[in-house]
Amino acid sequence: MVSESIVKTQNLTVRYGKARGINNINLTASAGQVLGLLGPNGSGKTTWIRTVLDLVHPTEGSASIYGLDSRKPEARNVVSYLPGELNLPKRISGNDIIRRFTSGRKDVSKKEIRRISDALNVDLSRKIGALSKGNRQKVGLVLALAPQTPVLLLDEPTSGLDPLMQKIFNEIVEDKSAQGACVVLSSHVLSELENLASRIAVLREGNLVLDESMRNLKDQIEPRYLVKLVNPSNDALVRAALFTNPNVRIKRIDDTLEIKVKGPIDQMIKALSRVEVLKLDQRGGDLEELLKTFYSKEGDENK
Amino acid sequence: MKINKSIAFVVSEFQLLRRSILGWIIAIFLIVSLTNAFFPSIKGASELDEIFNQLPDTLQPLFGNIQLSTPMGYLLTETYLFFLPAVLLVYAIGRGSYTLAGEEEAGTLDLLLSQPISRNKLYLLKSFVLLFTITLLTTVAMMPTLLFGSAFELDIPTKNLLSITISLTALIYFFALFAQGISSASGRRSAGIVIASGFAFISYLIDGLGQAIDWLEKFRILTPWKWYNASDSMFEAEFLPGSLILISAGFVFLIFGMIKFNQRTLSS
Repeated sequence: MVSESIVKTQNLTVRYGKARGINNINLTASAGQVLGLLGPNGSGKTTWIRTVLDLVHPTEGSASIYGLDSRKPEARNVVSYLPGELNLPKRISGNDIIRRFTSGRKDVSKKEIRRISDALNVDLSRKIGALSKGNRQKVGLVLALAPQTPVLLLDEPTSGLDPLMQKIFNEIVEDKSAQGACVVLSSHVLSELENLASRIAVLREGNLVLDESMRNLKDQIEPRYLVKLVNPSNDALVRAALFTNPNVRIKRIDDTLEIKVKGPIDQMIKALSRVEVLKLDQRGGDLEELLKTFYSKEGDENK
Repeated sequence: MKINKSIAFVVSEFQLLRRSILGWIIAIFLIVSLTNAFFPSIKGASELDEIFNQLPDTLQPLFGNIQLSTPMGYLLTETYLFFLPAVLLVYAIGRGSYTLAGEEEAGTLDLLLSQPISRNKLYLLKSFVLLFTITLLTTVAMMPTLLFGSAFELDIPTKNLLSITISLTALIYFFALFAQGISSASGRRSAGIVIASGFAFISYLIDGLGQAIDWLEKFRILTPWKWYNASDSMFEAEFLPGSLILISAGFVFLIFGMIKFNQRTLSS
């Protein structure tokens, strides 16, 4: 099934004077999808989101929401937003904040505000100045999640939240996504996105270096098994047993065998059962290791 | 943004400002009342006027047309030439500079503009609130004299009191929109404060000294103080031409600020 592209940037470039912003970004976010924007601090994630909201004007290229140029205010009818650095007036209450920053919206109901604030366990009657950082973030989340908008742009949304609240946040986002919302989550921490995102886009130094579905990424995961044999010269038996499997690569490093396996490992286990194994360790094989190559400059060499 | 949404936004602006505005209202009302209460003690003391008349010709215009012994002269000198312009300029320049650049610096502008509201509309709504609060403060400043003036022998015809109030309002509008325009165009609150305050001070000197120094006279046309023309406004109730010029000039800065604000990238 091809899902509808909701947020789209084409050849989007932003320069801040001579400073770098983002370069030639072609990226879409679709209905029913959670797009995880990943990248180190200063990689351009926030600039991309702020350009979609027309807070930053493109130097070149364009951004659109439902095909409407993002420079038109009507494009934001369908968007709710949580900024990465949430600053709220301190002398007014959470309820006043909700009223102030949703005064231009029509899709906000008191019922939904109550539902989200109850779920996040935040008291909106208290003044912002009296709230902890985590609770202020929760007020920001109510602002972003209560409107019934089909597009959510959430920049570092779980910053300052405890693990329990992160879980509740994940449930709300999953629910919105299941209802067809297009959700963009930015983070510099993969673990925040791993369980939520159905697609990952990695930005580095203003460039889009990866845009891939989570399923494809997980298929590319290639764990390494380090095997020490009682008799290292028996490695030929192992090699012979796995010779015909194209998903297995074997390398000998001193007296250790390094076996890289894509997919099921049953054949490797059968092969190892023919020899006496002294020690077996698994290295890597998680998403973080895979993405690290894109995340850092060294990734260029590995590509 | 439909009209009811605009009203909701304006209401939320007032909600944020309510305490500060209440403080300004009380302070202005009390100080003008207190100033008025002193008038009976110097009424008819023409020797006070003589002291000012003995100032060198070049300095006299800086202090305006001082006639402390008459009700209109006292009110003009004590309240409308120095105190109210100075106090309201502090409010107008400070508030005008804050409206958008202050929100931008505080990091709250992103949230406002992530709603379906255009920058122009936000600028206009913020300007409306700014001008409304200025009108409120100049009206409050008029009230002690209008309501209790006769109790302190300050019997000023309503027409003249309204005239000077309108002139003062136009002057403060100008500086508020000027400060707002500069700070919104640059994204820096300090730029609006420094440039508008500097211009207020220098233009005051040019207007005052220009009345006595020939070569400066031709520059007076560029100063808002010439068009404020407090003396004629108070004594002759002649406020219209000067006020229209000040309001028009203020709107030039409103348009300038709005265009520049619309064109630029907002800082995060």
